Amino acid sequence: MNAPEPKGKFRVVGTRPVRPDGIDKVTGKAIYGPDFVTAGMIQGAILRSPHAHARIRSIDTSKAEALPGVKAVVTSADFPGQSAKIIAAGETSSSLQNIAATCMANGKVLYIGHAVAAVAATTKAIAEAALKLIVVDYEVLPHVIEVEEALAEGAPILHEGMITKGLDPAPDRPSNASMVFTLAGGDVDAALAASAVTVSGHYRTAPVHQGYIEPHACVASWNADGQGQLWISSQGHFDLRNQTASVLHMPSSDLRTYPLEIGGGFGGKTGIYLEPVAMLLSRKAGRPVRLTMSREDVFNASGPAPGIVADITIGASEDGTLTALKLEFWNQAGAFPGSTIHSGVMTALGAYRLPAYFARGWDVVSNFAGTKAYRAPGAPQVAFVVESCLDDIARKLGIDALDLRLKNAARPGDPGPTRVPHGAIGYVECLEAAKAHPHWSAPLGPNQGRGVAGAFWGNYGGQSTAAVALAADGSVQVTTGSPDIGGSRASMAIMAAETLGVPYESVRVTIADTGSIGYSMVTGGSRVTFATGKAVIGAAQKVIATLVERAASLFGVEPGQVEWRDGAAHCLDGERAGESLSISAIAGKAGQFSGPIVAELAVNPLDYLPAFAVHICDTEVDPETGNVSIIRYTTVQDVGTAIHPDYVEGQMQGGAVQGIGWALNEAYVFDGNGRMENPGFLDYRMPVASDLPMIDTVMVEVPNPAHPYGVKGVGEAPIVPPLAAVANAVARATGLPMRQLPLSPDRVWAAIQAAK
Amino acid sequence: MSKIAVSTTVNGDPAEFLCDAGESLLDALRGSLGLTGSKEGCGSGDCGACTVMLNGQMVCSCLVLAVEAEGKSIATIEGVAEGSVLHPVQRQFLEHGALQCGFCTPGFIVAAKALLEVNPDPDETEIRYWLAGNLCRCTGYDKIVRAVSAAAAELRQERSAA
Amino acid sequence: MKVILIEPFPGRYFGGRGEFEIDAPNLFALVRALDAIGPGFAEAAGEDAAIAVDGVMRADWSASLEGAQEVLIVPRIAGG
Repeated sequence: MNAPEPKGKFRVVGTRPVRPDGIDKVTGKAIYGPDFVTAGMIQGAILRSPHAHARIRSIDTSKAEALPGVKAVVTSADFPGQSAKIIAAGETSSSLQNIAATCMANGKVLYIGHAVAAVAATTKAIAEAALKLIVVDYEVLPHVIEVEEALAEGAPILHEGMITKGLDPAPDRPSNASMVFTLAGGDVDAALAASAVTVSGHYRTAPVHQGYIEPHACVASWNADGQGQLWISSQGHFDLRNQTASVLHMPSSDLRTYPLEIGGGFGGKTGIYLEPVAMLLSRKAGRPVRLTMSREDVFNASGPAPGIVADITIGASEDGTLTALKLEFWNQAGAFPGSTIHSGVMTALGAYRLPAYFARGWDVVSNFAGTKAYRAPGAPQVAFVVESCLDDIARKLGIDALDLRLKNAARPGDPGPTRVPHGAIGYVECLEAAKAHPHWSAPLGPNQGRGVAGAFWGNYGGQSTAAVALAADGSVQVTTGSPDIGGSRASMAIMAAETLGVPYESVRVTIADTGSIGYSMVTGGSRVTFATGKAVIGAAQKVIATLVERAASLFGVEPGQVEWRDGAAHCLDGERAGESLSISAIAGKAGQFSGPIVAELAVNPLDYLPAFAVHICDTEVDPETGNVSIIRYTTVQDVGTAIHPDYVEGQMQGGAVQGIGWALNEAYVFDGNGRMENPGFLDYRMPVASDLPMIDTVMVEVPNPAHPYGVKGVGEAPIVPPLAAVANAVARATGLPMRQLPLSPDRVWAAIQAAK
Repeated sequence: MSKIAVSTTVNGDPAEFLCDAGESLLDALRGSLGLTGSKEGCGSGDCGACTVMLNGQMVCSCLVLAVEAEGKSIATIEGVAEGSVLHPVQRQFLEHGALQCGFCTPGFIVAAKALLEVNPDPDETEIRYWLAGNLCRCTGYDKIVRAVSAAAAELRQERSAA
Repeated sequence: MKVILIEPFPGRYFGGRGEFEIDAPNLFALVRALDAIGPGFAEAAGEDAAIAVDGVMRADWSASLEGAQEVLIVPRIAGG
């Protein structure tokens, strides 16, 4: 919908222009990770573990090395030794040892698909043939997948000597629980005992995958002088460069990293898998090396989102005022510690006023790929538990599900989950908009049920760098280091055009490599439009200051007598009062001033605000088959200010549909050997167009006062409510509790049969 | 093992390449012919990112052997626009913000164009079922369906004006 | 000035203690003071902590703490 809709105070913000990278992406010209080719490039391939848990006794690569066409073979022996040093990995941090072990198994394989060796050869076929010549001697160990197995007495331990952190007193024996995180306030047991009603439930979800359509890929070139180049599609080429350089013990500036277009990430492309391996192969081979993952590799060996096991009790008074929440959950973290228990705990405590609370998350490792961030990491699973339990309270008390939430919703100034008070949040506005939406009062047919769920995601800000440069003709070059994963070039151009007062089309946006601009964090945490946007706006303001100074010289007045308005300098005083100078008239005279007009700005804003969302879902359940159809879906979200509404709506719709897939179909299914039985898109069933209705969107705008245009992050919040919205709808359609996801036909059918 | 020579037509132009017997048409397009607009999302015919037309039939090029292209006519995303004039499906994808990361977009555009050639006035359900072989993980399909519907209307108008 | 730490920091570095009364000119000095009580905290804080001063998240540790009443040190949360 391209018609400009200027609204009130903004000229460009809030319009829906075509994205600057659009034509390349609808004509097949855009170069994504697997598309990039460089001169002399050869092909790599990775040997992966067939065992879920095994000790590597030895690896014999001699036959592979002897195969004609093979240029390099790499194993963990080629990696430098790693310390336990913690470094930034995306928005969380992880130990270098675990980051390196994610790229190449060291001593032990921890999951099926774990990389054990790699080959580079003149063709992919030769590289794959060489893999078959590598002999790995494994001592197979017993494995664990589910949380209960991992924590059972006598369970095989993945990481020898790992003592659970966060318990007092500390356990004296190693286990597969890496960490416990607890937030508590008030006397939760006394408050529950005194509550008029309490509802409890035991919940379970399975690991799921982000499901980006582009598999991981990279090209690496590492020269003998130590300098290297990496071409990657990622959510943050600066952070991936830093991780790769740290693992390889090289200075970051020796590794120039170029961002390619990224085909989806959702958190899964914030860490390294192939990059150091490709680098080591390249240095041995003396040639650039490409490594790619197959779809099966992506499922087995990238970073899914954790499953969860949870117990919850919520108490309320007769009028529906919440009295206490008690939650304990266990994250199925995969092979490495560090899953999302902190944000899970925050999710449980941030949306409602709770006089007493206890929320504890356990990070439990087991033998499948180490989990990674997935869009609002850790939040959807916990929101499923809390929002389902709230629905039970509403039904028990006979209170409208939205009224119950409105009664208890967090308001600005209320303490947030870590006691930092909520700023200008818009949860109440969202709940009221949901209640007023015709969907909420529309009639339902037989076997249909309507569910609602609210939730929030904290968002993030953090470090970004941006540059704004004017050409002599007054056209504008914006440069950032934030990969464009869903239209952010357009939002950067809109904000720069709004600030400078120039047309959207005169601003062009480049995502620069690590050698061309300063650091920016990953595109994640719903931070780019907010934080990188602040850098762009601030740099544009510096450019305006220069334009005004120069215009003042040209007018022969003081800068204070010049006003920048509508893309031109207006002389307010003196002989030339009323005259104006266009941006091109000033920029074209750079040779008569101190040089071209360029401003760069680095920022680290933390005055971001969380995004709240409310989703309404209608389902129809086929009692004969247990199949659940989504027949109507509405998303309501506080978006702060929508810079480009098409892409804000797109985030809301896309997040909702990922959540619908999580609720209805998606799950890692393991066989008795720890092998994922469905590592392909046929059996790992993501939603397709015919599964879905239109996804209605209501953008509620409660601006963030700390951003010049009121931006709040929008990308992650939409995946938080749908799990519970769908489950609550199915529960209301069937009259049965739905506490285990996915709600696949067999599970729903079994529940219906059991209740008969 | 010696390579097999294949003579075919790609986007209306003669094209020749050498391939291994087991090589997929997708690999030949992306490799030998340098046409990387068709994407590999799965390699198993489940995601539709590699959708091309083979003698007028919509296929997943990852499931077609490169040697099968011998003597046939292939149309890929690179041939959808006429020169620099976008096809209405391409234009409406842009106008509707129907792509986010854009990786699945070439497959959707080839498939949607094929739909509108056989059904100039599809309803929402027909669009959704025709496109059910193409996965998009970013958009939730809403804007894609609207874009295809708008492109259909535009094409109908063009035809009635002609 | 009241300093409140949220898990995992009290358990990991301060024997479970989560509240201190410390005066410091800025957050660098405050974290150094805490590191003297719980060795290793400063490095962990640099990687993993988010800090709010009187309820507002603070990025710049060199900014003055004059007049501040309460400093809250919480774990940094991941995003996708």
